[in-house]
Amino acid sequence: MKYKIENIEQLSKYVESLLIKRSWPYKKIDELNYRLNLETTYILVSCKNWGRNVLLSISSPISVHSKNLNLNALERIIELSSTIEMGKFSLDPENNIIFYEYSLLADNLDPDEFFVSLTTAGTISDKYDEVISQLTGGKRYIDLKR
Amino acid sequence: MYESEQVLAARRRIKAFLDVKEWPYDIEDNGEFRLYQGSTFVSAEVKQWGQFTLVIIRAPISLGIKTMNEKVYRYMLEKNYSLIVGKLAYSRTQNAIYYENAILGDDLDPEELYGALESAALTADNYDDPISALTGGRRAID
Repeated sequence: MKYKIENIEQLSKYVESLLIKRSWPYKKIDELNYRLNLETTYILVSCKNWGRNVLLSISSPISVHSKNLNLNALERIIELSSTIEMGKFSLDPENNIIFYEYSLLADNLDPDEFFVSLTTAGTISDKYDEVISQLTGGKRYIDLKR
Repeated sequence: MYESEQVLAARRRIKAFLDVKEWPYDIEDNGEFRLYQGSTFVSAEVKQWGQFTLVIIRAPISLGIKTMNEKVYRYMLEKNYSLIVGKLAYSRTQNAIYYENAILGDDLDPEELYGALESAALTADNYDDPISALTGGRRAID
């Protein structure tokens, strides 16, 4: 069942209601951002404006403090990013963090689409954070806390 | 080739949505929709994805690539960070860089499809010059 969303405040409330309804543990960071902890990393769900539309940005840090962003590492990450069907890997150049990211238009947000996106983000992040951190000489998010 | 009823239904939805807009398009032998804009195009391909269908929206950015080096890969990953929707993807087999976006096809919304197609055309147009300059490839328009 789709739900017509008019603005990001409404989107944020709707997202929170869905997380509560499906019993997904989350932490509300502020009015527009939610954090969901995974086994080795976390997912950030952000409500954003995009032109006339509203969208949900789903992101997860894959490799933090990436030291060896050389040809081999960058090539392999682009290959992996091009192969995964939903979402992408990206590089935050200021902080040398590799992220998994996926955005979905949320003007008519379908709950199933939202949860499929979350589950996919979780699966991909848990699957690739070790491989990519080894390639880049970076750390998985969980290793930062150890 | 066998194709599920889910895939066929998603294709029927896309066709109906495109017909409403009266955007000219072709349907390739593999069922992919191609919408032409000037000398370039945006495609929409439906794929089975586990229990769901995905619509892969794609637009060529650089074709016949001569150089893929550290600078190009870094540029692509950094642009992926700044692109809000979709990604720059490299196909080794086709020796090409594309803009790609995937949306779920099972409950596809017409506005979501139109937005994704327009965004693909716009992004490809923005990036085909700088990326082709880096790769020594050709823009689709060339």
